[in-house]
Amino acid sequence: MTFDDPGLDERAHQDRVREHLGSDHSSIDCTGNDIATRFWQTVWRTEAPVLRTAPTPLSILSGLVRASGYKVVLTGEGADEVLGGYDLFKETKVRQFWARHPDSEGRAALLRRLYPYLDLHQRQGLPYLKRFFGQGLDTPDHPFFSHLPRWTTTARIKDFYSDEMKEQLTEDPLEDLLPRMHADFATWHPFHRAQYLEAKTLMASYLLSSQGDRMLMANSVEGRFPFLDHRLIEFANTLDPRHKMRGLVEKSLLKRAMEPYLPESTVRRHKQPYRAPDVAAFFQDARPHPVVLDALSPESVRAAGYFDPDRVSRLVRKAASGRAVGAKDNMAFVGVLSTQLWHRTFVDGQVPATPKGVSQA
Amino acid sequence: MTDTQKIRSFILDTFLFTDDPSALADDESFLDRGIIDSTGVLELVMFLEEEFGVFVDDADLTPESLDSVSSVGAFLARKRA
Repeated sequence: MTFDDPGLDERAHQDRVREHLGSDHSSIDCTGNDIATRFWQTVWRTEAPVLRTAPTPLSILSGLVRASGYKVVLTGEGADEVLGGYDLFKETKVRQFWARHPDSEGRAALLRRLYPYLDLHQRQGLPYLKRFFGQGLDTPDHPFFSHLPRWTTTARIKDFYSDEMKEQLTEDPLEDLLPRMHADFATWHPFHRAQYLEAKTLMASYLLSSQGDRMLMANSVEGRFPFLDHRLIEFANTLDPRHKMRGLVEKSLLKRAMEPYLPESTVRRHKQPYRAPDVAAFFQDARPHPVVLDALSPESVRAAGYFDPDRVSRLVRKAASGRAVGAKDNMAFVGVLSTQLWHRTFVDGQVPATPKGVSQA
Repeated sequence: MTDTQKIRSFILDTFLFTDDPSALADDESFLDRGIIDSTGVLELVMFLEEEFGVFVDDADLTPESLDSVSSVGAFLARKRA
């Protein structure tokens, strides 16, 4: 899968592994328009609102697999959760280390090492990073310590809710989540707690369902997940966290095990999460794709009732001008759009047509 | 429109998606309210540079100088002095 945006595209790294192994691979390019055109179909298949467009390219990819005559694929889901690959775990480690001496500038400066692929920190002063990642720093034993900064950012999307939604949604989702954790959760190492939370929340409901199985099954392709084999998980659960993340080197045991088989630069590479263009996929030369004009019009937004039409219009204008570049705006845009399309499909009962001029994907 | 009004209306439209002035007081902290996220400060800097023709140095990027409508107004006045 290749993308125009060099921040998302990994073809150079993919080619290097392919050449090293001497394997015969197929690739397929995914444009923003491909995503925008298929996004309603994606939501029809996820049957749930999503905050990223990343499922859509995977439905295109499973279409390529099916068209090549295969019905089963091996895929790497779970490796980062089970063996400690995500920058979120790095972030947790740095924040725990910093929380022991909150006044240490050197410890706080490690925050600059996080999320290099987001390209956020170039002009950003350390005080801003400290404020963001310092959320919950005074309660390092909090059961959800690892995920608090991320969840706070995501929760900002709720600003777009209509007044009626805000009145009705009064529960605290964290209180709802706590009883669903393992009975011994609070006694575990903070690294293990972060792994468990990630697997129980994002992996189970989003990565394996919305982005995984549903996009594979859209083309009748079955995924097999070797990293989610229970024997591997049971083994990984016996490992000390330092064998998963050595210093700030993620998945270090897996990397060491794979060293003989992969190019050195691949093993040394910083974790690159799979991402697809979000807001950018829906605008061409500042013009919104028809799906946006339709689903995010003030009339549609008002009729569905979940969001405030005026705020949504301002977000669409900001997106059209190319200024909605932050994670919060991107998640809000995709979240509102997918909720609107979800409503249209499952409440209004309309079903998307197969896009013209493309294979069933 | 005064500079402060321009700053306030930019913040309201860009980060709070409203034109309701009661949504933000002039001395409320952007950081405390969660208004400025990881890229928000860059959007603010771009606005100041494009709208007022000032150059914002990396050393200026501190919460003290850019954390409320009032502090951004004072920062701008200093830059133009």
